[in-house]
Order: sequence, then C-alpha cells, then structure tokens
Amino acid sequence: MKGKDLDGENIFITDNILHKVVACLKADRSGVLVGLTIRGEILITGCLSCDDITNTSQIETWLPGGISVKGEFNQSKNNKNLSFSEPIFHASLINHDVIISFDQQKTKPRTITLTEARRMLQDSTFSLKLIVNTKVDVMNNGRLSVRSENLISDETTFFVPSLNILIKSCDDGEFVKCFPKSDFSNGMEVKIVKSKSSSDNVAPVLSCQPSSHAVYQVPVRFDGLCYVNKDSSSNKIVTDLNMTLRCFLHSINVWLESYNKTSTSLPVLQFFDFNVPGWCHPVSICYPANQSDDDLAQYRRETLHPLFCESCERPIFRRANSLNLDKEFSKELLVNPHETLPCPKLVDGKVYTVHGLYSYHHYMQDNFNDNGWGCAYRSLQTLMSWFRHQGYTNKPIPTHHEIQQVLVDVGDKPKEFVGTRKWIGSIEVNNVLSEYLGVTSKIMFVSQGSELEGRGRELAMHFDNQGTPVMIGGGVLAHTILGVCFSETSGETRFLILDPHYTGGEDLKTIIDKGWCGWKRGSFWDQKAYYNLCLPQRPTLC
Amino acid sequence: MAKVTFKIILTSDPKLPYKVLSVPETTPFTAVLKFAAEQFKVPADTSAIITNDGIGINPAQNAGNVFLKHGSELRLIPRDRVGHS
Repeated sequence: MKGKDLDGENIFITDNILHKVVACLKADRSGVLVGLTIRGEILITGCLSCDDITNTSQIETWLPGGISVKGEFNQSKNNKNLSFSEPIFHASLINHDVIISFDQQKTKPRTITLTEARRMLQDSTFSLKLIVNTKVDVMNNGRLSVRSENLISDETTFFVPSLNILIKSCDDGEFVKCFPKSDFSNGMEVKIVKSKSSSDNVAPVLSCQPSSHAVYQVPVRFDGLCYVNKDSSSNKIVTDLNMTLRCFLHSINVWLESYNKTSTSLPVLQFFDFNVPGWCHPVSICYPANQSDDDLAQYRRETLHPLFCESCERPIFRRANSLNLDKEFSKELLVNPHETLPCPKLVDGKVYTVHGLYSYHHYMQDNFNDNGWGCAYRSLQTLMSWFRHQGYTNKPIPTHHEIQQVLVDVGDKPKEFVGTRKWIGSIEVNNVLSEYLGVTSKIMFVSQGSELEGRGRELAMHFDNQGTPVMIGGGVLAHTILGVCFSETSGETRFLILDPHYTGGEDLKTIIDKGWCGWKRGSFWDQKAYYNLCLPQRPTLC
Repeated sequence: MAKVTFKIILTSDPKLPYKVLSVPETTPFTAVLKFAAEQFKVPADTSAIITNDGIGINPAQNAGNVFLKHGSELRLIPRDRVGHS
C-alpha cells in the first residue's frame, strides 16, 4: 500500500531492520532509525534501541560520519521536543504494520533487501577513512583536556594524502567545483591537520598553563568511517568528518571516565569495526586494550547487544568478529566452497546447511604430508575454522601435532602419540574441541551406514538449531557434513559432503567438478560399517 | 571416601546390557572408561563413554564432576577409526 509521499521523500528500510523495529515496538521499547538522505529519499541503514532518545548527541556518537538519526520509533508517546540536527519522522505499529508519520502525513516505509540497500549506499556515497593517530591529553580527573577537544572546530582542516588536497569549510561550499568527484574512491584516507588559532605562527610558542590537574598523554589510534554523499558540499563533508571525530572523542571520554573512578592507570584504547546484522555499513566500537573479550562480556551483554537490538545468542562484538584484525585466515584456503552448488533434485526436499563461514582444510595443506592418515585431523580443522570465522575464538587452527598434544593433555592418549601418524575419530575430535575451544559436542552413534539416511531429520534439526559443520567417522574414512537435503514426504536424504582426502590445490572448479565438495546419496556410506558423528553445539554467548 | 555410581550401557550390543560401577569421586574419568571397558570385555582404547543424551565427555575430568554434570546413566560406544595405516 503506497501512502502519500512525505514531502516527496521515500523511506527505504531493509527487512531485517524493520523486523527488529517491530520486535522492539511490540516489547514497548523505543529507539531511533539512522541513515542518510540520498537525493530527497531516505535510506535507513540501521537502528538503535534506547529508552532515552532525548540525549541526541550521545546517540549519534555510535554512528559513522555522514549517518545521522532520521526517525524515532516508539509505541506509546510521540516526542515533539527532540533536538536532532534535522527534523525526524516518527514510527509506530498500527495494525501490525510499521507506519511512519511526519508532519501530519502517514506512510509505510519501502522494504528492500540488504544487498539493494548496500548498493544504494555505495552508489550514492564514497567512504572516507579518517585516520587519527595522535595523543590526547587526559587530566588526572579522567577528563579529556580542553586542548584535545579543540580537534574539532570550524578551523579544522582535513588532508587527503593520496590526492594531496585539503578539505575545509569554505564560504561558497561548492565541493564539486574544487575537486572532481571521479578522483575520490572508497576507503580513501583522510588525516587531520590540527587547527591553529593563527596561520602566521612560524616559531614554536611555549605556554604555561597553571593547572590543578596533572596531564597525561594517552596514545590513541582511530580509523573512523565517514560516508560522504557524492552530491555534498565541502562544508557538509567537514561537518561529517567532524562528526566522526566527535564520535571518537566521546568514546574515549566514556572509557577514561569509568577508569578514573576505579584505577590509577589509564588504558590504551583501541577501535574496532563490526558488521551488525541488517546494517548497511560497519559501526566502530572502542575497547580498552587491557580488557579481554571475556572481561568485556558484561559490557556487550548489557550495553551493546540491547543497543543494537540483538539477542545475546551469538557473538557480534568480540574482537574476533572485527573487520580490522588480520584474522590470519590463510588467504589461500577456500571459504564456503559449497555455495556454488545447485540444490539436489529431491521431491519436497528442503535444504539445511551450515550457518556462516568455514574454511576447507584437506590433505597436503601447509606443506604437511598427511596423505592416508590425516583426514579426521583436517575435518577437525574445518570445524575449528567455523568457530574462528564466527568470532567465537581467536585461537589459531592447531596443527596435527598440536592436536595430538591436546589429546595427551586430556589423558586420552599416551605421550608417545605425538608425532605419530595415528588416526583419530569423532571422539578425539570432540575431546579436542572441548579442551581447546571449550565447545561441547553431541556424538551420534549409528550402528550401520545404511541407517544414516534415516537420521536425516535429526541432522536437519542440527543444522537448523546449531548450524555447525559435522565431522563423521567410520568405515575407515572421515568426512565433514555441511548440510542435508531432507524430504518430509519420502524421508529421502542427501548429504552435503566436504571431503578432506583431496590432495590437490585450492582450485574451486576441480573441487566442485570432481565432487570433493558435493551432494551425495545414502549409498555414499559404507552400508555395513558403524559410524560416529561429532555435532558441535554452538555456545550461547555474545 | 565419597563414591559415585554410574550405570553404563553397552550401546553396540542390541540387547543393551549394562553394568553398574561405583568409583571414588576423585577417580580420573579415563580410569572409569578403562574399568567399564574391562567389565564388558571390549578394548578400552577403541571405546568411549558418552552421556545418555549423546553429549561427548571430556576425559580430563574426575568421576565426581562427570556425575554432577551429566548424571549417572552413561553409554559405552565403539570409537571410529583408531587404527594405524
């Protein structure tokens, strides 16, 4: 149903974000919708849940530059006195639909997919990376000194090294005239040229400020994202970059104030970018370097996950989830090779596969010859890679020897086991996952391979609820099961198999064409042999 | 000395025979496995113990811990592939 256009503005929102807003409204929680205006239309790129939406500047500090609050949602009251930088719309649930009201007019937002939304963002903006690598002055009452806050002012000038240009506010504000748009590309770095009160200073000036506080210098490094509308004036760009800077200073302030009350030392603060489900762009979160992910669990559970309308079921804001860390995922390993496969043709067949990402580990990788004996080890490595990709752990993938050592450490194998070519199976895989990652697994014992087809429904439920890859051992061979296609009407099952016995290179075409990753029938299994399956259980943690 | 009691079912036998074992709670679970395997006359190093719900048990625990976490009913299953090529 198309409502009347709001002053010619259409409001685009992804189905995921809309879903979150509906859930919040039903729970009587309020919050804001954020995004940007693109040629008169509003693209909503994310949503935040907060009970006090009058603290507008604080809310905006969670956002990258160029993204601002466009609307607020709440079911019970219509706030008229909000002081956001521009007029915003109000959204609430009417008859199970989200209805937007603005200036007496009502309309429904237009839902688009995340891919379409990201495309809209990409086509109409370019992203700048604001690099701040500096020291900020902190007084011993924990506050940033005023000198640091002077980073932001009308005189702040930004420098783009790759284009060798300066951006600053200027009177006519015409961005396009000065710098051809085509010279800008995504991810271009921008630095700050600190503001000076007078441009005629050539000699260093020493000043003494009597102060009742000692001042400490704390190094900080910040790569802030800023989305600049391609149609922007240079003044708007400076405003957006200043906003990015404000977010940075606010985050530091928050952590420093909390530290000041409890300790005598100041932490080094680091910024990480995270992909939040449903958002069109990453968000930057600041953590003190001396607190581990476990130390920060409460902060994530009580502040971050509720703020971003996320349940605490899976990790989103752990350092292992961040986009910046060079995760040391071997760039050579294939990730999710199964995705290009067409679905098996099964009447009423429904496909259930692993959630998220994994890397394909197999024989002969890392220049290690495990041909003939290492298949279960490789399947275990694939399972471990899933936990790394999804951010449950930062621990590196263990080598065969390290796996063997873990088994010795838990008492499962004698110490002579390390360095041998002895085989392992599902039980050992479970033991290593438990000891090395703290992950519990279910073991499914199948007395004959012919029965595996009959366990299709159980496996389907595993992929639905847990979504982790499964290691299967039996009949002398180990494999990884990435999914099943199960038909309710016929009970037939097809298995999506990733074979660790492959000895070739990381060539997706060969791997798919020769069936090293592919859908197999029940006949794939040794019908007489018994099998054990290791089904890792996803830890419920954030 | 406090003891814990387990009822261990041999799942590879269709008749599902079981044995009841009582061990001091500080016994390492690896020893419980060996003892159970002996009782059923199956090789210990090709056997494993899982819970009644099918959860794999980390052997680096003592019997008391396993009893608290998983209860007394356990299953003895044959391991897959422990040979040497």
